[in-house]
Amino acid sequence: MDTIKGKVRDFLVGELNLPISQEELKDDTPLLSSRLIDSISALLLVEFLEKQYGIEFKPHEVSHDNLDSLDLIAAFVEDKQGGHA
Amino acid sequence: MYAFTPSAEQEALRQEIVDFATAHLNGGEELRDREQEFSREWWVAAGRIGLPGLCIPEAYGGRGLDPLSTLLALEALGYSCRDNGLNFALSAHLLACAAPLWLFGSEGLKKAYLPGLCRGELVAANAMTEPSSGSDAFRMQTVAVEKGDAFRISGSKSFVSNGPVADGVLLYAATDPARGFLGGISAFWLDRRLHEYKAGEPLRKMGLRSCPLSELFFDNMLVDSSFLVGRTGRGAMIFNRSMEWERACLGGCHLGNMQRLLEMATQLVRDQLAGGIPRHERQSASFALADMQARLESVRLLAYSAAWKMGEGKNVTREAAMAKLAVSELYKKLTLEIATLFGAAGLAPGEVERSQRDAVSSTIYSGASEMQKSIIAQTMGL
Ligand SMILES: Cc1cc2nc3c(=O)[nH]c(=O)nc-3n(C[C@H](O)[C@H](O)[C@H](O)COP(=O)(O)OP(=O)(O)OC[C@H]3O[C@@H](n4cnc5c(N)ncnc54)[C@H](O)[C@@H]3O)c2cc1C
Repeated sequence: MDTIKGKVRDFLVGELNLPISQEELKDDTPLLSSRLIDSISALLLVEFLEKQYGIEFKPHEVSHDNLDSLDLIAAFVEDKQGGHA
Repeated sequence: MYAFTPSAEQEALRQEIVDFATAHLNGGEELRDREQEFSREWWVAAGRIGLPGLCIPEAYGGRGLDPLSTLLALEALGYSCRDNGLNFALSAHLLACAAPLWLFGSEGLKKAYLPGLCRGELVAANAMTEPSSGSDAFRMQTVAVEKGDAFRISGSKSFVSNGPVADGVLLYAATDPARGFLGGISAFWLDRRLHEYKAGEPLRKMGLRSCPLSELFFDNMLVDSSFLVGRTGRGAMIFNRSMEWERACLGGCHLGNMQRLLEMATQLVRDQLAGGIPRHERQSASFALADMQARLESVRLLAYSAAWKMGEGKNVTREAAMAKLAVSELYKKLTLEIATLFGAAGLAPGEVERSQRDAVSSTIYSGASEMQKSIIAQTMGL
């Protein structure tokens, strides 16, 4: 769980240049609903997660429910990897 | 950090395109502009040196260029082919149709269509904009309803470049309208011979007149699932990627066009000086040209750096938007400023006059300037 969050945090701050520091970006910081992540970045995040973790988002899974915080993202990835989702 | 000098291969590529275009892609552009005429013959000629497939891998018939080399190639084309409409038609075909098909299409679609698209045998169009959705493209009304192994698509698209002459169309339609951008849009490849859609009459417009634009109409059109590009719901991602290619590379044509016009204006002033006009009397023109050269070089570097970064596989959302914004805004201004230096001659039908008309729409397509500012602002947390 921690490594997923760490990698995604690196990607968001380092690669997507979100205007927030690694320290400020908490596990429960709202990403999409706060507009910290814009719609284009959300799609880039989905691409990153699919490549990095070998998972596939179904159309309805590309949503706030799974992408709105590091906690939600990590839970979704773990679910997918565990074959639950 | 990247080098600011082109490699030997990039120099050779530039020279090859300049030589070819100078010899084979010039002549008759004024007539085509007047008549709003697209030339298949010239398209096929462009295919002889792989212009329609610059960035597509060689395995699919392309030239396998990275984004920066693609930009440099389009700059060479813009510099040496005076038909800006043809240059635009080729770039839109390459960057918004062939490139996304290569990046997201199935192996079957790629093998079936990319070689023809790269060799100049096929013309492609991309259809996103609709009568009621332009900048807010993802609010589209065109819907694709899945029925077994196929989709039924209904709706219409507008301002489709190459629309009336296209053999293939990359079409975006809503597969889940309520979801919109996030998972609700899908991309389809249409084959003119297989899919039943109608193209409207070419629209009359002020510039880029040799690149025909039209509406496309879909009335319950049946499209087999094998023509889906990428997975269902991936349309926004595909469109976004294609727009990044356009924003990073299409400006090459504009940079080349601006450079050529600047050289023509410089020659004009030099001739005036050589003809005996005192230097101080032409100082305002010299200063204007010096200023234009500096501004052109600064946006050129911005475009090069965006394309270079893209080639490094980095996220270029902001860089591509900045390059697109800066190049197109300068294109519009500089073509007018240069025409002013030509006096009344700058208004007579010809290259200087035509370039002004051709430049106007550059701040609209691939996302209007306000949209580029909106993207840049979002990446700044605004
Ligand atoms: C030469 C040419 C070729 C084209 N080729 C294609 C093609 O091949 N395929 C295709 O699908 N489309 C194509 N288009 C269409 C093009 O993508 C649209 O024209 C463009 O997206 C703008 O949409 P619109 O014309 O509906 O203008 P609108 O979206 O109505 O915008 C009008 C003005 O309002 C501004 N504006 C809109 N929304 C906002 C906002 N939220 N904030 C601030 N300002 C805003 C815009 O910047 C613009 O200045 C082409 C257009 C041109 C001119």
